Amino acid sequence: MSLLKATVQYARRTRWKLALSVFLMGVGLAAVSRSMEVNPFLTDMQEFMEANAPDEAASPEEQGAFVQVMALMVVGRFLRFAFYMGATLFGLLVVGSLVAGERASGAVMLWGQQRGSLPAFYVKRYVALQVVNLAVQLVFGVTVAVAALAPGGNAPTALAAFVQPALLGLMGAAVSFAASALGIRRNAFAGLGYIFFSVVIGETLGPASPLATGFWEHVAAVLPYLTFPMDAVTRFAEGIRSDWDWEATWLLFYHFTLWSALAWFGLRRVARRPLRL
Amino acid sequence: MTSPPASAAAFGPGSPPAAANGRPGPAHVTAVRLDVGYAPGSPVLGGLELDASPGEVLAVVGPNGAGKTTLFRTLLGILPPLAGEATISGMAPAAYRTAFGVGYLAEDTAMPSGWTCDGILALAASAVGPGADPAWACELAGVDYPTTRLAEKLSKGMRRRLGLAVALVGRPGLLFLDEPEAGLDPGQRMRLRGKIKEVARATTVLVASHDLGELAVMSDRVLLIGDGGARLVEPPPGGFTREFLEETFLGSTGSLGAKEGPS
Repeated sequence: MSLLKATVQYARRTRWKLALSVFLMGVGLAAVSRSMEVNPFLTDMQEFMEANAPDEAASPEEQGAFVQVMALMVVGRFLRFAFYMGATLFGLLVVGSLVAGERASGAVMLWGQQRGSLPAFYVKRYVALQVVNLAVQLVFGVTVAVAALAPGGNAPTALAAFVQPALLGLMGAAVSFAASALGIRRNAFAGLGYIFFSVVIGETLGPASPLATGFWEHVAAVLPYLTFPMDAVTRFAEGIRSDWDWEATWLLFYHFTLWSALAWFGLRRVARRPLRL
Repeated sequence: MTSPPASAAAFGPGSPPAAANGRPGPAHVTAVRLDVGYAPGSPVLGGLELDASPGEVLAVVGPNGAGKTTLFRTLLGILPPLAGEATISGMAPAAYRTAFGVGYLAEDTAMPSGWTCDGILALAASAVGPGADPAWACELAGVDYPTTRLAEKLSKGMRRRLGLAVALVGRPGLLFLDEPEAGLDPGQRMRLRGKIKEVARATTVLVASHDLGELAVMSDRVLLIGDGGARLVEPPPGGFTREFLEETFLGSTGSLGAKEGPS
C-alpha cells in the first residue's frame, strides 16, 4: 500500500463526519442561494425604498416576502460562516497530532528506527495529508461555486468561491502541522485559537479600525505578517474575479513559507531527540 | 564464547556493514568504558565493555531498573552516552541508525492513533524506502490476523507482533528486542524464539528479557547487568540452561558493581 493510499484511508476513517458536515453545509448554502433569488430581491427592495417615502408602510404581501427573504439570508449567512469555519477546521484537524502526539507516546520510534531522515519522513506524510486535504477542499469548493452561480453570479465569482476553501484548508493544515512539529499536542486547538485571535486582533487594529492611529498604526502594518491570513485569502479569491492581487499572493506565499520553516525547525529538534527522555 | 554464525564470519571488528541487495549485513556492536544514564554524574550503568559479534544473539539480563532499556536507547543513538564510546560497525549509533536503520521493539509498543495495521506497515515501508519488505516482516513476526484492524484496538500480544513486524520491515542488520515475549501466549513465545534464531542469521540481536528459559534457548551469550555494572557470561560446555542462568543471575545480584563489572 502506498503512503498516499494509507493517508486517504486514515483521513476517511478519522475525518469523514466532519467532511460530510462541511459538504452538507455547502450543499445547503447552494440550495438557499439558488432557491431564493436574493440578489434580484435586494434590487427590488432598493427600488421599492427609492420609489416610496420612508414612512410609507409596505403591503402585507411585501412584508411577508421581506421577512421570508431576510430569514433565508440569515440562514445563508450562518451556513456560509459554518462552511468556511468547517473547511478551515478540516485543514486543522486532518493533520492529527502527527509529530507531537507520536513523540509523546513513543510511536515516533516506529519510524525513527528506520533508515533515512525522520524530518523528511514527516514531511512526506505532511505532503500526503495536504494532497488529501486539497482534494477534499476542492469538493467543498464545488458546492460554494454552485452557490456563487445563483442568479446574479458569474463564472469568475464561482471560481473565486471554489478556490477560497482550498486556500483556507491548506493554510490551516500548515499551521496545524507546524504547531505539532513544535511540540504542541493539541495542535488543531492551538491553530483554532490562533485563527480566532487573528480575527479579533484584525477587527480591532485592522486598517479600517479607528484605533489604527499613531503607534497602533505601525502595529497594524505588521499584523498581516503575524496573524492568520484570512483577509489575504479573501483578497486573493477576489483577485481571481477581477484584478489579480499580488500583495495577497505574496502574503499567502510568505505565510506558507513561514509555517513550513517553523515546522522544519521543530522536526530537526525531534530528529535529534526522537523521544522525550 | 560461541562462534558467530558462518554468515557473519566475514565481519571483523569495526567492519562496515555489508550491503547485500541494498540491505546491511549483521552489525558489530562495541562499547568501551561506556556510561549510560539520564543525568551526568549519576550513570544508571557504568564502565560497560561490550563486543557483540555480527550475527550474535546477546541477551541482556538484569533486575528492574538495572538499565537494560537505557542501554538500548544509548546503542540506538537516541540517548547520548554520559562517558565512553559506543559504536555500531565502526559508526556512531545515531549515524548507523540513519544510514542503515535498526530494528527496535520497545518495551511499550505505542501505536499512532487512527491508523490500521496496514497503514502503519505502509508508513514504516515508506520510512525505509527501497528494500522494505512488509510481507516478509509480517510472516516472520507472526502477524496472522486481519491487518485492516485499527492498531490501537489490538490486544497487547497482537500489538507486540505488529511492533516486531515494523522493526523487521527494513531487514535491519541490528535488532533490539526489549522484553519481546511480553503479552505473548506460550505458543507465540515458542514461535518467536525460533524466529529470532532465524533472523539472527543475517542480523545481530540484542534481547532484554526476564524469561530466563527463553533466553537460555536463543542466546549465544548473556550480559548480566545490575548495581550499576555488568558482566558478560559465556555459555557452559553444554550450552545455556534455565537453571544455569537462574543460578548465575541470583549469584550475581549485588556483586555487579561498576568497578568489578565488565569482563
